[in-house]
Amino acid sequence: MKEEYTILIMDYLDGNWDDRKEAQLQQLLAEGEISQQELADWKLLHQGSEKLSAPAPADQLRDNFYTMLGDWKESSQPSSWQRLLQSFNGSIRVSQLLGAACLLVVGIALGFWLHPVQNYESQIGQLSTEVQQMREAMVLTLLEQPSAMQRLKAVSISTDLTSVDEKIHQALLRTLNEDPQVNVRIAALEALIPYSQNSLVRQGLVRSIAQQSDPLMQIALAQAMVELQEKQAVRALEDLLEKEDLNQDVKQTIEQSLEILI
Amino acid sequence: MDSYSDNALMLKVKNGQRSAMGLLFERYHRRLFGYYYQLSGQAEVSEDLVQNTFYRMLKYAHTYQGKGEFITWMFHLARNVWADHYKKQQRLPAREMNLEADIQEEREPETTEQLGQLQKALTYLNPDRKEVLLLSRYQGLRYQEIAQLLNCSEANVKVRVFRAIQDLRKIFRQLEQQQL
Repeated sequence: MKEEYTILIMDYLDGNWDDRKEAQLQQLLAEGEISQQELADWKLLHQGSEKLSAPAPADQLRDNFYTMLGDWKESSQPSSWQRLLQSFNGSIRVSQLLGAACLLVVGIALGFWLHPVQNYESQIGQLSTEVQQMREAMVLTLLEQPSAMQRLKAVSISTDLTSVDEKIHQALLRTLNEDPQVNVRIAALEALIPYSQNSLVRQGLVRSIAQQSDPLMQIALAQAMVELQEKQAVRALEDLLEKEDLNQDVKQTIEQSLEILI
Repeated sequence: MDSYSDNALMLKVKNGQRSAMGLLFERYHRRLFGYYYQLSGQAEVSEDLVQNTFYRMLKYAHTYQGKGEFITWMFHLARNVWADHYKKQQRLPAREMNLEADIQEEREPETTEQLGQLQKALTYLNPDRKEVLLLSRYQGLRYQEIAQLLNCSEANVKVRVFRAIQDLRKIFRQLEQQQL
């Protein structure tokens, strides 16, 4: 059969159809290129192959996957230097980098020539503190903004802070529990995980389990508890399992998490 | 970009946040299992292949660019996993399947019978044709996505799907005649 006929018949089977194609198909039928029986069979098989079924995979598949995920060595991930280089890949050219480096050298030289260095260490220290304070203030301000994009930006900035005080922890925990957007709540969770050594953060994460109703958040928190090996979360996860309207995927993830934690 | 999209999650995995892979697993393990099950007809083998696919996603996460659809990248790895498995076996996949267990009970008897026949006919279909048909119809990938996977044009994908349907029809009719 000619390729153009094939495309026409596939368009018919896919429902990608108009009067012109209908006329072409009718012509093919009239000329005996294809038969009504063939067309009916193709349609049956085309539609039927969408409805094929497969049994559900065994629970062991999930067990094996999470065991593998837990065992996955961090060393196999790219280093922070590699990630930095990858993030530059395609967006910054070597010539641009060289240009920026030259400008930096010229700037430093001019700086030394115009202002001889005096107490530079204390000046740099003071500057770093001011930048840190400015970033913290920006995080707290942006987290209060009505735009979800702004709040996401705040969470993103918080992950760049070299040290974070309790105000930021509390603001992120508030975002985790109260933000109307699940994306922002997920981002807040990810931003908090690195501070899980802090007892306030750890307890806040555990308490948050009971406050989340979105299945994606419930799954993300259960996985976070496994990652942190937080055994104090067992009770909260068990309570969540008791909920009658719990999503099936959430239920399976929690059961899996509990098996690891208990 | 939605920070909870497939692409965003995979980029997080790439950046070392491996827990994000858990959510991708929850989203796609059944779909991958169905893909391998229809190709192999063996549940245990399919589970191993799904596990292997997620292992490769972790291993090759650093190559993920996030420029195209995540699902295309995932099926690119899945196809490689299947090709490796197929080479190792050096034989055709299982020809018979447990049809009774596969067919959903709530369907009308006539439809169930036809679906059972179709499922059986599929096991006799040439593996390459079966794969393209499954990607298009069973997995619901767009022609454009399949074209990327197979490195060919969309028109060529349509032709391949149609040829698979033509071959399937012949097998389907042969099986019907054998039953008469």
